[in-house]
Amino acid sequence: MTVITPYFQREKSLSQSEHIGIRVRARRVKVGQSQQQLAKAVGISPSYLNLMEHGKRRIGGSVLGGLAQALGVDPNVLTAAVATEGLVPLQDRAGEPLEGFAAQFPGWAGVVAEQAGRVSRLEAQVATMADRLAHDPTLAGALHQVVSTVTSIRSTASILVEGAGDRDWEARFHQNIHADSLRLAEVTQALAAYLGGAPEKTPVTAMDEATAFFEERGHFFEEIERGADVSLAGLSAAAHQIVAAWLDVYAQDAQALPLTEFAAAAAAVEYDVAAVAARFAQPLGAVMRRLASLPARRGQPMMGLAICDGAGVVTRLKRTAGFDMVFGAGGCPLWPLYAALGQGMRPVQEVVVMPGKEAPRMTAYAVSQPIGTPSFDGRGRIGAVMLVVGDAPQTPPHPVGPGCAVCPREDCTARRIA
Amino acid sequence: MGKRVLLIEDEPNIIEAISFILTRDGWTVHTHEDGETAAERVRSRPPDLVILDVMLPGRSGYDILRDLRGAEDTRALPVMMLTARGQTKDREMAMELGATHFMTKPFSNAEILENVRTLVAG
Repeated sequence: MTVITPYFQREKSLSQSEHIGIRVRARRVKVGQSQQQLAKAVGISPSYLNLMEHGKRRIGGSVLGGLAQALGVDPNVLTAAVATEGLVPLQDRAGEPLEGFAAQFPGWAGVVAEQAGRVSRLEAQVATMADRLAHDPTLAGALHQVVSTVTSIRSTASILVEGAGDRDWEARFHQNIHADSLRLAEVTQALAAYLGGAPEKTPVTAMDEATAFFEERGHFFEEIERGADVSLAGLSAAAHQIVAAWLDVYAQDAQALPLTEFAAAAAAVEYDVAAVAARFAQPLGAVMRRLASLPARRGQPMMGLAICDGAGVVTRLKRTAGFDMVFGAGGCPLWPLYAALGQGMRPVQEVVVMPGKEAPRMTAYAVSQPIGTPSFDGRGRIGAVMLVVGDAPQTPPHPVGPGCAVCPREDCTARRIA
Repeated sequence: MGKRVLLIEDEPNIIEAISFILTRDGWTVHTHEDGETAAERVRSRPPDLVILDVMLPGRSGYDILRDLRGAEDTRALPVMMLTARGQTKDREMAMELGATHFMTKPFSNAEILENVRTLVAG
C-alpha cells in the first residue's frame, strides 16, 4: 500500500514540482474530478497524474496547459511563485511547515503575510512613538512643571485647611495658590497645544524602523560576536536593507576589535577613545562604534552614538540617558559631530550638555571619516561619527540640543526652526 | 534652637510651604536654590538633615549627592531626595548613590513631616 504523507507533516522544503502538484490536486478536488477523469481529459495516465500531483514528475509544457484548461484556471495560477518570506516569522507559532500552506492557498498566504508584516510595522511604529515621547524634552519639561506646581498647591492648600495661625501667612499662601493656579493653567494649555498640534499621523521611516530594531537589541548582537547570522524577520524591505548594512559594519568592527579583549582594554583606560584606538591600531570611528555597542556593565559610563553623512544628515543613532537625540527632525547644529565634518580628519572633543536642569555633562568625541571605497576622482564621500560618554569632567559645558524641532533653547543662535 | 534642616530646592512656593510646615514643627530651616554651589553650602555648615531636589539649576541632585557621599564629613549625613519622577530607575539611582530616603512629588505635608522626624531621630 502506498502511504502518502500530508504536506503539513513533511519537514523538508517543497520543490517547484511539489508546489504545482499540490495546486493541481487541490483544484481537482475542488471541481469534483477524480484522477481518472482529469487524466483522461488531458490525455495522460492516472498513475502519471498521481506522480505529478505528488511532485514526483515535473509538470510543464502542453501537459500544464491541458491541466489548467481542464481545471478551468489560468496556467499561471498553478505555477505562480509562492511568497513565503513574510510567513517565516509565523512558522514557529503555527508549528507546521509553511510551504504546503502557501502552495495550496497562495491567496490566503499572501493575505496572512501582508497582515503579519503590517502588525510588525505597527509594533515598530508604536515602539518608536513611545520612545519619542519618553525622550521628548519639551514634554518632559512641561510635565515636570505640572508636577512641581501641583506639589506646591497641594502643600499650600493643606496648610490653609489646617489653618496657618497667622493672617499675613494665610494671605501669602492664598497669593501663592493663585500664582500656582495661573502657572498650572498656562503649562497645561501649552501642553495641550503641543500635543494637539502634533501631526495626526507621524510617518515612521525605514530609518526609524531600523533604529528601533537596534534599540530593541541594546545595539549589541551576540550572534555576530560568535560568528552567527542575525534574524531580520519582520522588518520591511527598506529597513532590512539598512539594518543589513549596519550589521555588516558591526561585523567588521567585531572582527577588528574582539569583544572580550576590547571591553577589558576600554575599561582599563576608562573608555578613553584615543587610548583604545592606539592600543588596537584601529580608526577612531571604528572604536567609537564598538564602544557604543558594548553591553552595559557595572562601572561603564553611558554611551550614545550619532553618525552623519557629508550633507550632515544623521544616518544612525544610539540614544542614551542624558543625551536624547531625535532622528526625524535632524541633529543639533551645535553637536561636535558637525564641527568634525569641517576639521578634516582632526578629531574634536568637547564637554556638552543637553537642555534641562537635570541633564548631565557628557564628553563628546567626534571625527570625520571616509565612507565607502576611497578614490582619487575627487568624488570620495565623507561623513562623521560622534560618541557621547557620561561622567564628563567638571568643566563648563557647551550647551547643545536634541535637534531644533523639539529643542527648548529658544534663544539659541544656531536654531534653524522658529 | 531646633535641629537644622537644609532644603535645597528651586521652586519658590514649594520652598515657602515646606519651610512653613517644618518651622511650625520646631525645625530650623535653611534654604538654598542653586545646584552648582549646593555641595559647598552643605559642607560649610552641615545640617542635621538635607532635603535635596533632583532637578536643580546648574547641577542635578544626583551629582550633589554623589559629592556628599564622596566626602568624609558628609558621608553619613541624612539626605532625603525629592523628585517629580517616581520611576523605579530614579528611585534605584537615588538609593544606589546613597540617599537615605526618596520622596516623589506631589507629597502630603504629613508625609514629609513624618519622614523628617524619622530620619533625624534615626
